[in-house]
Amino acid sequence: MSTAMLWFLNRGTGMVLLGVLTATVLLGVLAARGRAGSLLPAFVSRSLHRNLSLFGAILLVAHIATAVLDEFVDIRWWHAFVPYGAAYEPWWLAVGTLASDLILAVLVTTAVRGRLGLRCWQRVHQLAYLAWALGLVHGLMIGSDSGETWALISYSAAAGVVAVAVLLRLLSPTAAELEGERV
Amino acid sequence: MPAAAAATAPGAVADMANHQLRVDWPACQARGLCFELLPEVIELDDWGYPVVGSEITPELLAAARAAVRGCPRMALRLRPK
Repeated sequence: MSTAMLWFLNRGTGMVLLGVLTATVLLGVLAARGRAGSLLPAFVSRSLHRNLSLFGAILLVAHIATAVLDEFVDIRWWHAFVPYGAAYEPWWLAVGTLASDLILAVLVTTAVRGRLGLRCWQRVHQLAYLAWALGLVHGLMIGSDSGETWALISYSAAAGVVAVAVLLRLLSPTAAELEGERV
Repeated sequence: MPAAAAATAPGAVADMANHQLRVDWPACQARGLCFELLPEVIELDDWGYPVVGSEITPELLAAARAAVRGCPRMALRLRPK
């Protein structure tokens, strides 16, 4: 495979990751709203959240692999885990590395959720917000397409929809809080 | 898997018996996924909290396990009767 192809794939997977991870976060943020018997059953949106996150993890592996294999910039395989010491854009690469480390932590803790207990799992799972935000900053700052209008629109849209979803979740009562209203 | 192998597999004896579904009430927040995944056994009360109707028969065991896994609050436990 030509080096140019790897570079294109790296940029491509990065932009698709923005979409997939944003959709995953959206589904997760909005999971606590609504009641059983709504238009979209909760177990459907929950499965979608799960499967999209796994798809995102595979994309992330492809994103990292193409960045390492590509020789246009010097990125080593251990930069996938250690957020330090890169020759190319050290700060913004480190931000991306931190994001993928956090995503790894979220995936592993979810796999052993039954043994961790609810509170502990939840604490780690909330790091997904940080991972998503770091990923967005990483893309915006290191991405060679960030000057393009379509890229800026994508980044703003991603940040906007997640912000709206978080507000909706904060403002809407949970099912347990609705208890008093329903007699 | 052939039926003979399934019968001798570990845990096969437990799978033949009825199971009981328990709700951890302090953990439950009436999210209703258990009702969506196991409507054969679980109904919701007026406030959205689950009411476990009957024991889990071997035919329903797989669906009951899905409900236990599906609970976002990890508030369901499946116990052999």
